[in-house]
Amino acid sequence: MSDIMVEPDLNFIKGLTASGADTVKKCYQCATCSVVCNIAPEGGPFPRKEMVWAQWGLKDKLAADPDVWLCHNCGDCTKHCPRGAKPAEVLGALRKATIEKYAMIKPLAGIASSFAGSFVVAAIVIIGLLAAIGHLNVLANYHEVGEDGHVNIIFNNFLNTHYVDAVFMPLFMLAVLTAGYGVMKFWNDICDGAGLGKYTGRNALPSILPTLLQIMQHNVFSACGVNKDRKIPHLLALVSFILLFITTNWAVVYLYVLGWEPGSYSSLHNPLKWVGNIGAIMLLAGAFLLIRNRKAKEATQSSSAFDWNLLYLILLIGVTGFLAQVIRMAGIVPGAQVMYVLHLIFIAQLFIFAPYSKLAHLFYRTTAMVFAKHTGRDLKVA
Amino acid sequence: MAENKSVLVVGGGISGMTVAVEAAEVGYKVHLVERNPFLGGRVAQLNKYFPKMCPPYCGLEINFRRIRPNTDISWMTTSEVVKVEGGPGNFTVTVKTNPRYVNENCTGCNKCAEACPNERVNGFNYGMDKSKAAYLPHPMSFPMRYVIDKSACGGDCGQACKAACKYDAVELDQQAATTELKVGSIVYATGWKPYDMAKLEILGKGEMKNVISNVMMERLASASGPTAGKILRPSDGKEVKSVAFVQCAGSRDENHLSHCSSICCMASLKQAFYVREQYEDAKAEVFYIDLRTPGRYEKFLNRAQADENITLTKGKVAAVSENAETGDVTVTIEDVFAGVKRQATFDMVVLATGMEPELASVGGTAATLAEGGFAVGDLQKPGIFSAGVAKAPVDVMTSIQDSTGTALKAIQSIVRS
Repeated sequence: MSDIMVEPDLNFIKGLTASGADTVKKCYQCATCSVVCNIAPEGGPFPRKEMVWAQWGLKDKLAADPDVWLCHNCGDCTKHCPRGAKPAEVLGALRKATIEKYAMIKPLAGIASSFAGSFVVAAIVIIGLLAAIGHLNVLANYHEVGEDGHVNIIFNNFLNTHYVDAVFMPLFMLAVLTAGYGVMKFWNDICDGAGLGKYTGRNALPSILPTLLQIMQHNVFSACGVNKDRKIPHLLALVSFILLFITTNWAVVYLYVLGWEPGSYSSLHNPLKWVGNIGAIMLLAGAFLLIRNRKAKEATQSSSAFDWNLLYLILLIGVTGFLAQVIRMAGIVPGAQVMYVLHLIFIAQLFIFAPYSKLAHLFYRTTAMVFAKHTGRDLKVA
Repeated sequence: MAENKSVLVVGGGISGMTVAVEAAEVGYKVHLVERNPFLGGRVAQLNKYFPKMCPPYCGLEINFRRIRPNTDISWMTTSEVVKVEGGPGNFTVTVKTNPRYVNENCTGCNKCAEACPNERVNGFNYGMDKSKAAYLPHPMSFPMRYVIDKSACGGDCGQACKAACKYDAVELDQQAATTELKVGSIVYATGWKPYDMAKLEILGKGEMKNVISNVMMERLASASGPTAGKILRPSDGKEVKSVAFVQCAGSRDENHLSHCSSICCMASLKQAFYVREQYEDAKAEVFYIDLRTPGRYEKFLNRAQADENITLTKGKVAAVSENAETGDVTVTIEDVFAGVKRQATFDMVVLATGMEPELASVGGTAATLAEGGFAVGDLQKPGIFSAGVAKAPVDVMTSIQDSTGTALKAIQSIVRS
């Protein structure tokens, strides 16, 4: 073993302790966790080494450690830990610390831990923009009564879809760019940490597709012991995100490529709506089941506000989106508009905080898995 | 001065016997109550003591020699305390004595066992062999008197044993009896039992033949054990050429025993020497979290470190599997110093199961228990004391020192009250 200079960052340890890793100091390095972990690689397995690094406050070493992300929070380590040191929870807190470290807009990373705080930011953005374009009067009548007496609510009349796009496209781009900034820094650090130096990015390209395929198979989740039943709900959530992303782009094609009128595709006869609704149902089911799983395991596996925020946000996006559609079709005028605005605020919240909330695992875990494949440290899967 | 100048000692192992002789030899009456049909407890089941590697029978024999002629010690085997009433200087204790079915006429001639048609699982050898239903617990049993296990000796079995006895020692109609004792103070010396391997979910649940506990290893190495002292593995009687010792099997684990049992490191090193002494080319590997060999025990560790065939590896075993065909056992660890997950295969695996205090399972315990089931040492109820492993997980030497001190405490309590 080579000598290393240990420069503990006490504030880092305090921060970890505050964000769910209050048990980290209980670890006595027996390495039960590394053995009972079904997915840890043979060479340099996790999470035993991460536990001692965290106790020592080795912030930079941990940030440059892809293994923090290779961990899928199976919880087997926590179950068998003889000291109640809860390695799974500690690694969760370490992931949060990594997200904060690579955050491009630090104040947003600070707010991300608070659901109310991030909701307020999103609300200010959306309502502020609505006010700016003179659409703050939510209760105004933007509906038409058809010949058959049916109330037709067209959200476009209330809030022009082009304005919505003008807000969300930049928000989306901002999320992608800031996440990309974090991912690049993270990638450089893990390459450095592994002694690979620069320019390994290009060499890693062939590892990207197999990693994405592995993620879609979700086979790492099958290898989990304690948290095995999380596979389907998590896959539902992931697939729903993909379907809803497709739906959104499809609408973009209608609007800006084919030049359709906004709202002209919002009847249930359009296949776009089918895909959107299937996505929405999967989103609701996934979020509901993920929350239920976490609640059921609360006694043995603790969840932090960081964990809950994302799950409840996804649930709320699903619920408000679905209700907005139902109320629109039922012709309940003020309800539909309020629900629509709420839905937009929650989506804005998801986008703005994507690189800083738990959703950032989408970027960092994928990156870490690409790196693992690239360096031949594949996870063991069932 | 208290009305009752006598001390009750609950448990007749090395600690209880020590309390009894120390108190009796300064003139106090002692009632020594033991659940087993013999005195000596867990120590009688050991092969050798660490660090001197001498047989425990030496120490036991000295104690038996001190107890036998001492008229101030009244000992009762197959007996349990069922009720304690009163206070310091004036306790009333109810003791239930279960039938042994063999009386004082027994000469230890073994004729009953020879004639006995039935067998029983031999608890003294931790179930690794069987004895006759009429049996002598172990070759140096005190009292040197046979026992009939009636649950294993139904039908004509009892009569067959009785008929074989020339001395009229077999009494098949013995009944359980209750005795009331008046004592001035009480010492719990109830010792320990090995932690149940069936509870060790990731270490084979006690279901793998060649994964044994450290107490079983003592019997395997003992001349009076099931293999007459030859270390052979249970599944096929093969000589063991590679043995893994799994430390902290239950101890230092809040899912099992949260305390460090304190003796297991020394016990495993000692057992590694058993293997090395019997087989010149045998290898032993000890998997540990920390090696705890305090004080002069460090020299014992140095001896193991100097042996090329003994490997000491930091990393707790957290997975065990047995090959159904060969019977070999594979353990998985993370070698902490190397930072690598590793599997290694052995002829046999010994789990260093910890010491679980027996005190909680003793009927009518008057002692206050601490977390983990040990007796509270200081601030115990007046007139109540504990000695040896009833109080803390310690080795034999420390138990004896503690017991000597506790005898004085028990006497002081009588004198003061």
